[in-house]
Amino acid sequence: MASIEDVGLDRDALEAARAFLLSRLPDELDAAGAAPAAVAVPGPDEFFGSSQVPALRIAEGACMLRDAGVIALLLGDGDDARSSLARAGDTFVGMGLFVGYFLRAIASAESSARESSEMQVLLRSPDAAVDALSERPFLRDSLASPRQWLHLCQAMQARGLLANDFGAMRLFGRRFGELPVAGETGEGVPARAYLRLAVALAGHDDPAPPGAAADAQTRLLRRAVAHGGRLRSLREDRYHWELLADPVALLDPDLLFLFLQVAPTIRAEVRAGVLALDVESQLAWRAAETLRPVPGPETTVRRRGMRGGGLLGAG
Amino acid sequence: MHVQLFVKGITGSDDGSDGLTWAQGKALLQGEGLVSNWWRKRPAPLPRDAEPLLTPDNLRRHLQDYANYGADSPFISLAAGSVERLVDANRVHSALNVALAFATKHWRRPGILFYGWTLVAPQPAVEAALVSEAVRDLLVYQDWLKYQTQGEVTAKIRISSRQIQRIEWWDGTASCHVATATQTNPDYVDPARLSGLRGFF
Repeated sequence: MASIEDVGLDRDALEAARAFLLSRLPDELDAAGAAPAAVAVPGPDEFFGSSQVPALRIAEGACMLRDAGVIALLLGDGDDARSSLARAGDTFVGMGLFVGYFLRAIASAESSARESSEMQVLLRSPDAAVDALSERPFLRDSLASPRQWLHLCQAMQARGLLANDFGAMRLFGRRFGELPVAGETGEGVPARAYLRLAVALAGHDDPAPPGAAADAQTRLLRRAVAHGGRLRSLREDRYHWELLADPVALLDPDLLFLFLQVAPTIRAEVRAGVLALDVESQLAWRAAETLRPVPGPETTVRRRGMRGGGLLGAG
Repeated sequence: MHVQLFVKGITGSDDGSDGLTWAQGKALLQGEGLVSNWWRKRPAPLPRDAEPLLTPDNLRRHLQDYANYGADSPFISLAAGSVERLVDANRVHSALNVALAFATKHWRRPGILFYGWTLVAPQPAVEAALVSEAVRDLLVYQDWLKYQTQGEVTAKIRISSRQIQRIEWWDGTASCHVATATQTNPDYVDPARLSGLRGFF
């Protein structure tokens, strides 16, 4: 299995970068969720870094926690990764950004009843959610963002809730299903195809069409190879690579999520396929292994069942 | 053009062997200002000798191939922060943290921060030494920049010390939140004086 040294990263540098991020978390982070005042414009005396728009500082804090979590994953430190990613997720959720649910879902298999209820309300009755969660400053923007909807769907898939919102998922498919997600050849693939792949890898495609599992594995490995190619391109700029200028770029979260969805029944085959790839293409799998156990409430999903093609509408 | 505030991080060194000492930082503040590596390596540099090097290809190399090109680059990287569309990309990077991370190598070294301003062109104008390039701005530079989120604005050849408001010495072993020393510049020119706003009398 590839190690971080194999991709030209230094363990001490990673440790230092993680410590740096955690040491620079803004004070405003603790106030996340208290945010309407957070969108004030800075005054003329507030130049030169002593202040920024508070909402941006909260968002930056969440980004720093997420980056620290990614670095912890690269270091193979699952506990620290889960802790940072979950805290980043809480902060994003407090701001009304659905990426927070996604980060929580990859960080922890445990989901609260409140969170599940919240996500389902957001999908089924977004207008009601805006009223109920009005203290979250970016909630309305999230509802208009395909990317945030995709994060919500990813989180619900991870929590086994996707099948319970069949109608809402059709809505997503109609409204945002063509949103491009980084794909198998470097170009974007439609979000609905991406989500179907996640469902197939999780073994929730019930009944699965003949050859579906093998096909899903092939597409997953192609995505890993495409991501590996992007990493090699980033590595060519040795100066920025060694400085860890953009940690989260090292782990495509969408790819990491897919690896986390891989059902136990096919995990050994996927692992064998991954180990045959170049070292950069193995990083996301390695991170997923660090994060396991993953949420996978088989019983919840299978209760409703999902048919191929039905989940996200045609196409 | 607009006036852009920036933070520039430079690796510090207690003895000057592999970075800038605090005394050297103060000398730059009171002397020639922030200079490019091209300028620093020459005993009597003249801007006119560097101007032919201000080409789009050399700028690309400065931004994407610094390990091989940076040592003699006429460009100066400045941090101004970046916010990718928050709702869509969820990525925010403050200039201060980017500059600190670079300068201190994530607290493994001391570092010096320079706070100042530069004039930024609204369009690519690489050949013009007077203005900085807004390479972080996708409306100006649509090319793919691998590390665009670093929030870079790129200056050229030299930045006058009169554009630098202060410098700070940071040492992570002493504090991760407060600079251990600060020196302000008595000759600093407030960029508000470049404003187009005129009062009445």
